[in-house]
Amino acid sequence: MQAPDPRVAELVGQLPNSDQPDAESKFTGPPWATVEKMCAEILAGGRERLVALVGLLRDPSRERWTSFRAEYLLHAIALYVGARERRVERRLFVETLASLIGDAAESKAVRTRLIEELQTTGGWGALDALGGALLDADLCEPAARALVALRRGAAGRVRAALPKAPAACRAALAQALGVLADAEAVGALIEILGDRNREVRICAVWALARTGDARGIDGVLAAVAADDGWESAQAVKAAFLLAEKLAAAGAKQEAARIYTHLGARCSDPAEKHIRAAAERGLEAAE
Amino acid sequence: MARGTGEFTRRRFVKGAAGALAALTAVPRHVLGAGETPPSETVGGALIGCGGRGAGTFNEMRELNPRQLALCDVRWVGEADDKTRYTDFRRVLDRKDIDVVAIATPPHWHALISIAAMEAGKDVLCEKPMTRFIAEGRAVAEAEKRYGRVFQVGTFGRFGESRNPRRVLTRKIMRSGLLKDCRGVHIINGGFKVKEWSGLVNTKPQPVPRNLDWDLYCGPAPLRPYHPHRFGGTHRGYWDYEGGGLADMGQHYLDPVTWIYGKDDTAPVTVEAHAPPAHPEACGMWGWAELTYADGFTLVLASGEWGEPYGRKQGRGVDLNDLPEEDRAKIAAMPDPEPLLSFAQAVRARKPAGGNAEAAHRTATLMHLTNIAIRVGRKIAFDPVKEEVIGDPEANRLVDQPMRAPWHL
Repeated sequence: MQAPDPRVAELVGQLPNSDQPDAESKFTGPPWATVEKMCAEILAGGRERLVALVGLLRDPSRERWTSFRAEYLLHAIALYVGARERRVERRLFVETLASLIGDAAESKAVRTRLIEELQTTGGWGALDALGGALLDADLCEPAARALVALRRGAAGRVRAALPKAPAACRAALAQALGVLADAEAVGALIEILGDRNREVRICAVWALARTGDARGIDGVLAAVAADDGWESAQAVKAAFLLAEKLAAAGAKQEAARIYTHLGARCSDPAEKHIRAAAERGLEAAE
Repeated sequence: MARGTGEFTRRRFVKGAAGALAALTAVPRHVLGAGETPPSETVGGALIGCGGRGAGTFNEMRELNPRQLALCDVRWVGEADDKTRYTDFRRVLDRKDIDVVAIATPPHWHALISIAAMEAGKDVLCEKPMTRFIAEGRAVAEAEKRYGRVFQVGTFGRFGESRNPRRVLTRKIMRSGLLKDCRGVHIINGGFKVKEWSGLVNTKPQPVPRNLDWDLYCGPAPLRPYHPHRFGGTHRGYWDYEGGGLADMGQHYLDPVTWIYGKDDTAPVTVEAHAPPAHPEACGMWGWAELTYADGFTLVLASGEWGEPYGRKQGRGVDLNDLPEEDRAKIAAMPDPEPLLSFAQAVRARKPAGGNAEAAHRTATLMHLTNIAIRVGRKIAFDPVKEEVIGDPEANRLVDQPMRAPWHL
């Protein structure tokens, strides 16, 4: 990934240093007008110059981190190309960074930084690369967050990755499908409701609820009966969410079924607020 | 910079907050009514987040005289007994003998724990700032409504202002709908601790202390390598956990403003900030921000710590002279707003507290919108009903930020 370019290093060097260059410290950024010129010059150099800038990033855990100015400039470029009128520059930025996140020779810390910049200013050009990162145990979590931020086109990548993803990634992927409210993922989410990992089950139940699909009712209501108090509480929350989505979509009978179940299930005096909420929901649904 | 008539100073905030706290302690037992069990015999309390603001936040519930049954902090790995001292808030919320919860964690946990507490049937007093981003506030307000729980944010400036006849008049004018073209400009000048609550930009990861559950601390935020500056008060300087001095001090200064100017149920439509490019992780410097509501009312936040001073508009109050004669008479005939209920009063009456979730959310939205404008480096337009940034998908990504699984709203 490293490609020395003296001009890039020079531009980075023109940025202010931290308040105490020899110690961990704060930083006072320069005005946008100054930084915009640097952004424009880097982008005018095309992919090569962007790659050179990325080459100045370092893994902070491996050495004394002196590359914050390169990181700062990279982020400034991500913001700069986010302006509506800079579509061409944005495409260059996104495609270049996307092409680098699969570079196995680079540290996971730097690749995570690139993924986070794509979360800031990603787009279609980043989808495949981020989808690929979903299969990496160290990168799947930031990649899922980035895809969720991009929204359009993201669900298909997450859905495709779910069956192949390492166990450590399944909760992140299920949650991503929930944020994206991916109706096409209902079957896959139902399949992982019995996952051995509690966090995966919790995310799958919530994701099912987010789809607003009546096929998720049985799974969500079954989760309400979980022995684990937190898991059950999260399932109750998901059940309300699903009922509200169903009612809003006109599926009043299905919503009423959930509210009735919750009202009957939550008989403990400490759960009277849940019964009351279920009664209000039922009344509204009917 | 000249101080405008609509300015709100820190001294006034402190005075107002002190008055409000004094009022919280003054309700005698007989006001509970016949047959009502004194709260001292019934209210079980928990404190989640026992760092710097912990004891103070719990103390803000003192009118209820809660028995402190549980304390919870992620720093107590190996020390917690899961009876009175916990590391995991989920175990605390599982307890049926706890009625009220004070939350004084860093703000990236505020919404999730508030919601979970209300789902568990508890009433919540949550330290400011209420949230870390806008969608969290909406979710807390929905949970408050769904479960019929009481939520109060831990800042009380609006209580004092609500007893000030001049402020009451301003609120009535603003809420009347008679002021078609508001020329009010409210300037908050300084006190945001911008540099003080900035993050470090060149840290080297350090080993996680043995007594700290770092994964649970990070929670919905990205699991970054540990560094002590990300923890224990200085967390304020990182986007992952808060939003700098603006988020930290903003709710104090803006809570009275949203009440006075009747903006408890809406938000600005445009926000412009004067700031350098933001760092991806560390909150940094900014100079000023101008927030404009649909009715023309302008709110200015000026840090005085970076760049050119704000000089676009002068501070200007809103008063009866802004209205024609016949409308002034209508204002005079309007009833005063209902007195704001303290947390304890709200818990007893099962009614919304003065700093309820919707109001607190709309106040926090002001800080969040300003931080979004700072972070993207562009003027943004906002839809106060849909609560979305208009025409800027990148900025809108900061309205509802992805959380680390398994944590979700």
